[in-house]
Amino acid sequence: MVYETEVIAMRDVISQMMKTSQNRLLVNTDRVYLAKTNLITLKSLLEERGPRGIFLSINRPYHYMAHLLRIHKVDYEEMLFIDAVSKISGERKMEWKQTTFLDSPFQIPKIFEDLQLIGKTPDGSTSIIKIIESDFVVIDDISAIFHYNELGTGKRFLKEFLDAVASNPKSFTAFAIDRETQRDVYEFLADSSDRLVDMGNAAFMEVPKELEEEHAPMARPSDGEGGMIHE
Amino acid sequence: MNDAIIRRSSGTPGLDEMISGGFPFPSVLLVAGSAGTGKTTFAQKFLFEGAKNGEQCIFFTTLSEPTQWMLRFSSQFEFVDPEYFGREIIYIDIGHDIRESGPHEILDILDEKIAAIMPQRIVIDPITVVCDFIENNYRTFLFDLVTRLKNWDCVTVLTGEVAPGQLYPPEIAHAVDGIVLLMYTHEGEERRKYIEVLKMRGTNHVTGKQSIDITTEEGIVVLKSKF
Repeated sequence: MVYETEVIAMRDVISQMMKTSQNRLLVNTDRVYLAKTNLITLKSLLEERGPRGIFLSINRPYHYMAHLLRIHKVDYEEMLFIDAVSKISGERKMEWKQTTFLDSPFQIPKIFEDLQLIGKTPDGSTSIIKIIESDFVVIDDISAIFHYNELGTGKRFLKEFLDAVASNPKSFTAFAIDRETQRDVYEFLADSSDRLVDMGNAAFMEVPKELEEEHAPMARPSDGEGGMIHE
Repeated sequence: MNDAIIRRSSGTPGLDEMISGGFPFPSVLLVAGSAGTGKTTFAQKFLFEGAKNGEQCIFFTTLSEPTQWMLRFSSQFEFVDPEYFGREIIYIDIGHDIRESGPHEILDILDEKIAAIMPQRIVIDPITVVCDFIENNYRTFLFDLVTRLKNWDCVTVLTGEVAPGQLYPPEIAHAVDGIVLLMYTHEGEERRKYIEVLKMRGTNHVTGKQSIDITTEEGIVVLKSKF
């Protein structure tokens, strides 16, 4: 299994959070390892929380994550994808039945009003999939919101989203972001998150929230595992 | 809008200083030059720089030479650390696939390899020979290739062979985010080597030719950076 150590550790954190009614997980990762971190996070959530997750794709077309999940043998059949970028990406792969395509990432702040997280069921019919009815929501990636929206607009959207999750104990969300390149947004999210995890280069380390300020960046994989492929 | 560009070191001493600190991440770059200008050396150093920092890398060889011979010659460079072979740097020969497959199949093969390894750095060396096998759809193929490579979230170096006197392969140049030229010029009895950054999107870069040397210790070195 790929990244077995990291998935086990992440599942453990998610499991602990569920037992204590915590449901907002923030993951710090080096930007260049974001895809790997999101794969580990998604796999952990699918195994720990359940199959009916929502994946909001802002940074790149959804099918890249779908492809990664397939190659790495992660079952995502019941996941719903909301893709905010394919229509402006020049991509031609837009075939997955459980995907809702937004016209552009500029729509993200209005997603609650316009969509209330609408998805399509496996039989192709449209249904309202509210956050509380899903097993988890993952946004890939948070920092991309700020490529297309003003800082204040993006923060307002995230605040509303995190408040909605916080007020619905059955829901769950996980964000991955690079603290070093998005410090302002990271700190903003950290204030509204229940648990912090430092993935660095995709090696795992949980950060006690009170120590977060003092925490040094992760060791590079030359010091141990992380950059290697575990097959 | 908040859109700070993340950069990764090129690995070539002196080049990062010319391009605001390194190659934009993610991006697709063309390194063009005629035979013997150091394209493969440049590409190797780029990957070893990533491997040194714990990044995962793929070197796709196309139809230039078998991996065995490329590695035999490149192992003369001191920066080539055999410890990285097959771990941080994976060499994949796609020459057979290029000969036997159409453009869609080639893209799918690349997708499969990249998704399995999830690299932060990729080299395709050289990309130009692929055009002989794709013919009519070459521009479409390049557009799709560059789009996909960027969305795989990595920095990719495509090397491009050019005929003497030609600066870069134009059909590739329009699709990429950056162009680095490696070249020789005759000056009197001497043949001097230069590097030039012709294009680097989102980057303030030094313009004009800069002298380079190729050393066994560091590969290509921008001479200005030595002084």
